Amino acid sequence: MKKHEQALVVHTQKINSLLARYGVKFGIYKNNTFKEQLFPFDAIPRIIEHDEFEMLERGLKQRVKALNLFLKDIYSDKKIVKDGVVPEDFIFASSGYMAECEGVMPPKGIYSHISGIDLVKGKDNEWYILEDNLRVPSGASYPMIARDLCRKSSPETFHNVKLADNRNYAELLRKTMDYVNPGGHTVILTPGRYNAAYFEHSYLAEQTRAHLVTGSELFVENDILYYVSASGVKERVGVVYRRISDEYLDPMNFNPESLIGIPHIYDVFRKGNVALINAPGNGVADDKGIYYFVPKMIKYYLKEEPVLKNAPTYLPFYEEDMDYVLKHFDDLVLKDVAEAGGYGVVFGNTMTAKQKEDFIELLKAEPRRFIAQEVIDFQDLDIVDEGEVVPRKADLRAFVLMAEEPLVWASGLTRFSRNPDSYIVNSSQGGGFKDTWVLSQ
Amino acid sequence: MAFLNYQYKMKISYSEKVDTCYFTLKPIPANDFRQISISYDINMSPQATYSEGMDSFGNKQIIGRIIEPHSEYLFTIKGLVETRPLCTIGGVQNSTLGMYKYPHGKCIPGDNIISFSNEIRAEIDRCASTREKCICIMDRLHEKMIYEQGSTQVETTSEESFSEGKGVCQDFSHIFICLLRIFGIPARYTCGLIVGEGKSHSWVEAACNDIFIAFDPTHNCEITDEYIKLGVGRDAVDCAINRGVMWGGGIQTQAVQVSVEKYY
Repeated sequence: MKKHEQALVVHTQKINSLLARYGVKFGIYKNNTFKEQLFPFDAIPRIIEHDEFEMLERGLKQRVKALNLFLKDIYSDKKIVKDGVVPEDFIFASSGYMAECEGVMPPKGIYSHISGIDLVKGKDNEWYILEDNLRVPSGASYPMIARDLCRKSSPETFHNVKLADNRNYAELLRKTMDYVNPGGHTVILTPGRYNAAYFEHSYLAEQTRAHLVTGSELFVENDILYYVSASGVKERVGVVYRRISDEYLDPMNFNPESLIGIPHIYDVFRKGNVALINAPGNGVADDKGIYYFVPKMIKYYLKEEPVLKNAPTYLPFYEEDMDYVLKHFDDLVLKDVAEAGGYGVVFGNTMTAKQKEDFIELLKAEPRRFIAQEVIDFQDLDIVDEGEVVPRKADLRAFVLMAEEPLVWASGLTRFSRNPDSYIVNSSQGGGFKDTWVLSQ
Repeated sequence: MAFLNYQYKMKISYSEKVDTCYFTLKPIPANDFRQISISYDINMSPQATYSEGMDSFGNKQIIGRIIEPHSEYLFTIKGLVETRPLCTIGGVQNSTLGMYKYPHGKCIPGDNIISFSNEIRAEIDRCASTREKCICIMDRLHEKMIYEQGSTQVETTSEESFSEGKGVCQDFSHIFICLLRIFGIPARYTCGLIVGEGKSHSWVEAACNDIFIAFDPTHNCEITDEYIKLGVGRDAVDCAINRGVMWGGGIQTQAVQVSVEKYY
């Protein structure tokens, strides 16, 4: 273990107990009861070299720029469909496409203000994009508070290592929100304290000086959104950083059963009188089926070669790809595009002959429903497990903020699997997290 | 060329008082190739603050809220529309046509609708034009379904009413839309009014190459100058004349009265 690592590792327990005291938890529902679980912190940071980060930065900015242009195109002219780059099926039959968003232009034309892009570093030393999260990506608050506690625990470490300060996230986020504000207050809309990411909602509200509100504190009158303060005064709201999904946002425009939404908020958005962060409808750009087309989008909209690679992906929708998938079935992982959170994912080599036969039949009947990918063998990172240093699988969620120009936060959320045999790093599966250091020189 | 004088009255009664109510109304006649809305006048009680706008399907909408406690809500729109004796609605807009091609909402075919489409497929394939296909599908559907008032609810899906073999105009439209989409013809739900006394009506616009043609599957015909189109959508939900969210209210009952008179 390196010296700076050692200096932090000795504080692991203290940092974890402080994180618990600050409420760094996530909630999960199990058997209909709500439980809060700690999010274990490992003190050995992931280190990204300066040059390496510059490359990631270029690639991520390029990707988010293209994804934003794609969303703007899809909800208006659909040139990319007319020009035959993305088949119509992958738009209109996607569960993320929302017809209710047709013809609606968000303030300044920005759809994805906050993008969480998941990457892994392969054993070949190449970075691969695993998925884009353009709806309500969470997780930025964890490295923010962890860095803060690490600095307090071992200030000298941060004098000795030259790394980019990541404590500016709140300020960058605030600027991102201000940039699209048509006038009024900035609020963070939470479904409430029983949400998995409630810690993050309250922390980001405090850090960005925004009001933390629930749906019942907001209402619409004459095409304007208002917030009723504790003293009963009504004040205009210009930006809603909403931490609830599209379908629950507005019972008058989306799911009529929603009790946590605000009636007519989408109509205010339609008239340009409020910014919703992120814009509704983004699901059409981050589903598993559309992922395949992101490198093509970059070429189409920006006339550039993609800097970052996708994991090699095949679409059985195309005959040529279907042939490949059938030939190399055992080497591939197959994913149902409609599923998320690790569901609907099967590895070809783990199926019995009968399962394989059934699956191939389904694949042939509904080719659009699946994608197939090469299995990427990604690098391990060291963690401390019961006093011992052991290697575990880890990924990186990079946060890209979009105002006038895209900007990559010089940090990110590194999640790791605590199980030595698992590739699944999700916090709901018991994974932990690390700080992510970007060296400043 | 005909002039249609129409009145649409809606009364919602609540068993308990409503404290706050939000509403979205889509009762205003559309303007297209075959009809022009000349004038209209809206009244509601209790009085509410509201504004006008346009939804993503191109329908005019009125949105607002009532903060006065009430146990009855009255809404009336009266107006004049000029219609042409055509069933062609106008050119299709290619960028949004895709939303009318796929199963959605109330128009998701189940096993019964799918197997019916297979039964009639050979015959449909023999039709020379898309318009003929539409008429042929509508004919077969009409043989299969009985119109029976009160046989279904607003929530009933296309597959449910098809399996029962009966329904009202909304069901006929939904099933027809399912079938048209199965045969690759983009189709959208239309909500509107027809000459006479009664309730609101619904029919279907199908994209026949680059033009929308309107068919009334309930009456098994193409529409005439006696039809006033209000809104369109992927299914009835998208263009519902009234959609509301309220606090309080208990059990609600809705009564609708429509009258449309024609003169030249």
